[in-house]
Amino acid sequence: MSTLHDIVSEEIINEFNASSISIKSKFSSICIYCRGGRKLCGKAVCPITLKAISMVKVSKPISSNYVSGSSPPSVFVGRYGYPKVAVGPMVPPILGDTVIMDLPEKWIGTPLEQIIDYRYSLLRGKVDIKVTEVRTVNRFLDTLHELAMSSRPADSEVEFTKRPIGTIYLDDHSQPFGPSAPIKSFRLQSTHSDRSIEKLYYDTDLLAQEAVLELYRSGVEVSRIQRAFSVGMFGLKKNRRLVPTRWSITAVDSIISSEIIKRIKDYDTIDKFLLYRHTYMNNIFVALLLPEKWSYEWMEAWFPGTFWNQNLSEVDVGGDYESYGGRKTYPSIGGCYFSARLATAEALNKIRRQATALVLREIHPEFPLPLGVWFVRENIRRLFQQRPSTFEDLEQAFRGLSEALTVPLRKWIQKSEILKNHVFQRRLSNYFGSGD
Amino acid sequence: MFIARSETPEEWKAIAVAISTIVEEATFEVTPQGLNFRGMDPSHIALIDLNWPNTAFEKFECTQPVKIGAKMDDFVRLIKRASPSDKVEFETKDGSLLIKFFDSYKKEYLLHLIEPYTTSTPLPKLALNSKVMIKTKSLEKLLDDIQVVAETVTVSAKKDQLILEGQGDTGNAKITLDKTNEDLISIDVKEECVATYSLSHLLDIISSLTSVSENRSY
Repeated sequence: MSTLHDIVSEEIINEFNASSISIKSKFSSICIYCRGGRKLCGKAVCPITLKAISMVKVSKPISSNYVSGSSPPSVFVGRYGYPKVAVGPMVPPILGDTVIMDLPEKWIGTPLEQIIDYRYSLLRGKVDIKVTEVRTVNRFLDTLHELAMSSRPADSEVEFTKRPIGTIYLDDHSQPFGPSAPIKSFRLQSTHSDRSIEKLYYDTDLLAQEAVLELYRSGVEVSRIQRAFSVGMFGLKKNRRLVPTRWSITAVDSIISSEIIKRIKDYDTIDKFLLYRHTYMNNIFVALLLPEKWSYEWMEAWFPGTFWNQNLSEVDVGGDYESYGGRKTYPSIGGCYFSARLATAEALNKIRRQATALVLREIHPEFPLPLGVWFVRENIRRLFQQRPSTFEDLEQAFRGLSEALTVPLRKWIQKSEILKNHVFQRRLSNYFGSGD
Repeated sequence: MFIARSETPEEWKAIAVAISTIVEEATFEVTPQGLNFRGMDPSHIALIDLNWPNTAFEKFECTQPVKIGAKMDDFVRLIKRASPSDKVEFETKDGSLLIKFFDSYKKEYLLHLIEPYTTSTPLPKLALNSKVMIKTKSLEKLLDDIQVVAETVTVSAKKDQLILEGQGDTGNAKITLDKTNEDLISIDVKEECVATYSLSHLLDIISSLTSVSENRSY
């Protein structure tokens, strides 16, 4: 384990009480020699420095056990120790309009440093609670529900049992957010409840799935639905439970996209091959829609030197696929599969057509750190807002696809079910004779 | 008017599950001669062509040809409620399908039907050079063995051998069955041939049929 002195500039350290932060590096051999200066890991900005800088910004106002600020609103449910998990509000040491800090739908176009600052500025209070506790009377959870329902930032006061301490992991599994500490007390000033969420909160006879879909249909942002879902605000009373934030994001993306997919299966297929391309923050997003019945594949290619591909000398390609009938198992690539599926299904539903959708993402080494699955969802939404190139046949479409990507098409074909299906799989319809 | 009764629900279960692996909605064509289904998966990779003659039923009545459209998930869910010892009877009734199970007591389900497809799936014109008959359970096991390392199986039919091969990231698999193998019922090769199939499609269909089928032909 190295200390903050090893990786951030002297100027920053002078403003900061370094003893409150420790940094654990999975790749210590590189980081020790680099210390954020030589960029040995290949990133334009050292991820640890970025995290450390944000820590410094919030660390000054929280030198005590107490924080007062406007929660965007934001809540977090941990997953470690399930079914007893750490749950609590996230509060920045800032009063005012903080809504942007937990509204990823609005983050595209925001500089990376700013997004990271949003994430790290949110101080996380924790109380260990059994997930089923939500079915009983619990004042802390009731206050948390009130916060999660709020349509505007809610002024909050949190007293911690000890001074919040941030630990920075270079291991990418940890999503970036600020220092955390157990809560001693949590007070919430007046909130403005979102009526549509409130109505479903008090409806204890409606399935959680139906509640999610109703909110989505009424235009509530996916991130707001996920927040309320995670603190167990929907569903039959006897089934309500806290859902770790990470799982709730995937659950909501999955529920909504499954419903849209049911609908788009009733539409006609598109009549041409459509190719979309969008680049953002050293990521290339490409979608090829084929004029066939619904099926979907999400694939990512991580360049050497990116978070998930630190040690390989080759681009690492992985992904998951579902046929018309859908998936029965959880995709190995993780929650981004469902986030991209939601954005893809939304795009097809908008044009009232179905298609086979191959959605690809290249992550180039300059992209310093993954920011969560919202990044995929919002970028795929942007991707489908682009004007597509159209192709009449598969061969032309493949040529267009190859030009849109930097990773050679043969590498994608090796791993992609949809591409393999079209390159190697013959169709029975090719053998239908006339008049049969 | 259509009524079909079977001694056991097992064939119905197997057929319904097999069809549900390739289509979500199925149209069955019932004629006085029997019950037929032909359908392809949406990718046009797998096709099931079912001809179930009236002689296979304990009771079969059909006064005029009728098409029955059903959501396969719903159909499978209901037919799976039958116990192995149940007799099962199907009857069309006012746009629905009445499903009766008889054993020590009578159980009835009414399944709402959907609009049947008006067009029928044609049969592909294939020139097949080899015909191999193999026990269904053996074939399922062989394919399972290949699936450990591969997503596709390459089947080579030779004069006196059947070879199944697969390769994947972890390694390769090769299974050779000689003509004398007791699982191999017959092998008739006009011309040696090789073909590669998706294991997921093959296994989905074959696994659902192992409980009721003894043989499988290529």
